[in-house]
Amino acid sequence: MSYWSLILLSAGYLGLLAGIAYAVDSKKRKRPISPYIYALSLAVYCTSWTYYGSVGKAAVDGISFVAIYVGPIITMPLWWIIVRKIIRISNALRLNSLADFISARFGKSIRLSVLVTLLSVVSIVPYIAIQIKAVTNALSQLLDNQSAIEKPSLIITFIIGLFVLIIAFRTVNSNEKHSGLVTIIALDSIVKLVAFLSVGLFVTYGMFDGYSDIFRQVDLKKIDQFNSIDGTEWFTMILLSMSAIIFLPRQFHMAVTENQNVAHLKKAIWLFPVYLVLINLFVIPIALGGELILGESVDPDNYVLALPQSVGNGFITLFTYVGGFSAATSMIMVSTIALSIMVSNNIVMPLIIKNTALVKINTQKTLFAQRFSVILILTMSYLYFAFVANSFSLSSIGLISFVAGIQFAPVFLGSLYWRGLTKSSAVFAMVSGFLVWFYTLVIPNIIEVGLLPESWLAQGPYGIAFLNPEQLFGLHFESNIVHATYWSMLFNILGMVVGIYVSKPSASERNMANYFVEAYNYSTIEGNSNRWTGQMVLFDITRVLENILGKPRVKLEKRLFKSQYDAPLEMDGFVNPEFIGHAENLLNSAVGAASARMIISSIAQEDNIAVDDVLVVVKEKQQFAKLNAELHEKSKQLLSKTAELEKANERLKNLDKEKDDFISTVTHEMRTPLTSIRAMTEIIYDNQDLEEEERNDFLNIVIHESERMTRLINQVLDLEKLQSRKTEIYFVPLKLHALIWQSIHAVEALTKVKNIRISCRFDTEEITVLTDQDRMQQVLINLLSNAIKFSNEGGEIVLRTSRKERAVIVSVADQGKGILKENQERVFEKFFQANDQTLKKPVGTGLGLAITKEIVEMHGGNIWIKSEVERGTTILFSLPIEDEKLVK
Amino acid sequence: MSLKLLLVDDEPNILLSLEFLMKKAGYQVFIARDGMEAIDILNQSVPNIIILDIMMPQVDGYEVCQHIKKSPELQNVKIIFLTAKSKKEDIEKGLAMGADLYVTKPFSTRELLKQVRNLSV
Repeated sequence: MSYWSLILLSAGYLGLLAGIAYAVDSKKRKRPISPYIYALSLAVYCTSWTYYGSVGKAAVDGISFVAIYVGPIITMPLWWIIVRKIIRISNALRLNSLADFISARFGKSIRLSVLVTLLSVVSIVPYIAIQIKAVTNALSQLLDNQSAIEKPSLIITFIIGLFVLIIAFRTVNSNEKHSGLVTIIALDSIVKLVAFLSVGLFVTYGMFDGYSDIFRQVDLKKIDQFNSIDGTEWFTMILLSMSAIIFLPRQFHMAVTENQNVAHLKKAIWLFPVYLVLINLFVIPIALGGELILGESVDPDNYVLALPQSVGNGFITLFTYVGGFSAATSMIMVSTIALSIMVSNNIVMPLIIKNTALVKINTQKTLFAQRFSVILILTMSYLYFAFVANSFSLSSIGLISFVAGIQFAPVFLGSLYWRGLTKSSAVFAMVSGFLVWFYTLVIPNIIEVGLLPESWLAQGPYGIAFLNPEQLFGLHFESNIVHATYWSMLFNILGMVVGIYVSKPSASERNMANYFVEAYNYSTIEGNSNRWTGQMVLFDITRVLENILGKPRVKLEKRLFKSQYDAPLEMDGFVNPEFIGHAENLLNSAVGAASARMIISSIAQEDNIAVDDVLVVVKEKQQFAKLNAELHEKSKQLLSKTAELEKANERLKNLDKEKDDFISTVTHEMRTPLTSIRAMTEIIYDNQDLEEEERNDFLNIVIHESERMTRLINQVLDLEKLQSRKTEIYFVPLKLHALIWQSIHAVEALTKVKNIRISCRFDTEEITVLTDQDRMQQVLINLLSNAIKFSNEGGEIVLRTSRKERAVIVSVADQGKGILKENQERVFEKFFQANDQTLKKPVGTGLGLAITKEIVEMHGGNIWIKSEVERGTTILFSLPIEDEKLVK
Repeated sequence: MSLKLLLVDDEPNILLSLEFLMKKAGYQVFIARDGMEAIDILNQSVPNIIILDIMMPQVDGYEVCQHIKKSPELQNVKIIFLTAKSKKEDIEKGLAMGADLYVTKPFSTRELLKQVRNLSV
């Protein structure tokens, strides 16, 4: 194979992956990835270190390489408890990196997130470097051309960087799940597994005659060495790998950030261990076979590739290369993405924001930050590779990263399960752990490279023996990894304990601690990234909402929420997470999604100053428009209210005047009979000698006037009752003509006095109407007696009935003097006659027609008048006929 | 010679009681059932005292009062308003128009007689 064809093959492979990622991401209908893909993507754990380095380590140290896989396998069941909780918290708070997670737990401390970012970079960059080294080693093994090492590594690094940029950072939204990335990482996992199994089968069954054949050929001493296990080292490796499987940035990214459904964990819990077992099936045969066939002539890390190459199997060799390449690139890709999210979000973006006006921060700036971070990390990795990594084996640098990774573990687990953990103790723990890690693992490397005097490793720095980086405090371990792990963890935990004694958690830390520790109690719905969670105080969110949406709306929304979700607004003293989600949606519509997020997250920080700041900004933005609208609305309301008030006032005034007039008229009307009564009785009393006839006349007047007064009082009360609808009316079907005849009969006495004739002209046959007998008779008698009153001696009164549509019209006509046009409408007013000075005062209370009108209107009818002076007056009224059947 | 008294009211029963009272007291009594009739009578003979209702159809008591005040030959007629209008402002208005006495209905026959006698001295 030529140099360039290998480069092309590598680039082609990456191109294929990029194409697949692009196809997955640009699908119109985005489907969640399958749980199998999620489980397989976790196998990013198996890097080129596994692919090449396991064999290398097995060849040197024997079976102990397995420890790195035993750790994850035995911890996987615990994922359902720990990782599920982490995913839940991350989704709820929209955390997308290790740094975010730890800093969120301690009140979103920026310092903490920067610290975690820096520590991650320091520990992972060498790890990425060894992946570049692995690819380069593989290339040089294939090309057998040592001088070309650096050139392809640079090109490969460049190509990988390009693909990271293409695949992961095309879009800005770092919250978005990268389905394409997860898919190709899973594909990588399949490729490297199949490739490794192929080469394993090829070596074991092609080059040898199966397992037993290989073991037969190896000499016994070697097998003893293989089986020897250093208990301490074994334990340490298991411990390291248990933490690495989740706390390495790339693992955290795949397991937590890219998780689309917590239920996927169930699949991963059994599938991932199976994968780890499969990929390790042929490590020992290849290691032993390599030693048998190749011996010391080839770096044991290259056995995997060199074995098929040694027998000239070009296809298997190339396939093995691709497998190794995929193992390396997947690790580089995910690590770079995970780190660059941290670097970009916690270091580059804050710097940009600090130095740019807030208004100028846009998509391009964010994209720039992310791309810059990718390039930065890859450049650092490449430089590390070029100048440092060449001196070390794959697994040694891998393990150094593992030891770094475990420095996060105490703080991380404490975050999840220990409320009392404070920010200071987290900082102390991580800083002291990492310092010891640096001193015991990195310094020796630096010494080995020659940047520091070698005497440090022999006698200790400046001759101080107990500070010897590999034998700290005079303690000697077989393996410097065990040594470093022991001391770093000791100092890590010591730092944590000291931190707890010297600091107290702040209020926001306490709230977050409660939330992290009791994550399961906070929200009932899992994996919903739209969910904010309970570290908010109702007062704060209400204040912000009210400022933006107005009090009445917020009140309404609160009520709606309660009834719709059937849930309280507050739970355990915090705002119901579902209400926060609801609130964000409300804000979305008011100020846009980005501002809404900003506002909500500002409240979520529980930083009172931040809340106030947000309020100021929001207020400034909204106040003008709002005030304006409010003023407008208010003045409109005022105007209409004023008009309403004026109207009401007018109405009241009129009513008041009407009442006053009525009362004064009534009292005036009552004074008249009372006057006669008093005068007459006094006369009778003072004149005992009155003629009997005269006295009887006077007494008759008293009786008559008393009756008049009674009538007046009754009519006033009657009218009052009718007008206020206090009277009860009983509608029954009655024959109208019969009723008319009865009424005529009732006024017969009056007609005789004036010699008046009443004639009836009925246009229809007998009509049945729904009416109150007493009231209708009252109406008819009233009208008849009025007509009689105004008729001249010997006149005629005509009573008519006629049908008009669904009503019957009754009219009573007299031949009296008639009423002036201008007074005709007023005859139905109360006491109209009494007020009318133009006619000779007639007898009566002046309330008769008013009462008549009320009664007719209560029947649903109308009453009106037709009159001509000197020709007579006709009063007409209508009664509705409700039911046609009743007409019969 | 007995004093002439003109009684004006549209209530026949009140008129009846006043007529009885005043005749009994020795006055020469004239009767008008509304303002118009009163003015007719006033044009023919001059009474010493007029007992005048206010609220009457067509021509009311105020107009009759004004007629008396306008007519030079009626300057000595004493005017007594006898009315149901009993509000303070009504009384003030009646007195302002030049009435000698304002009596509200219902009235005491003895009191009215006493006041009529006082006026006739």
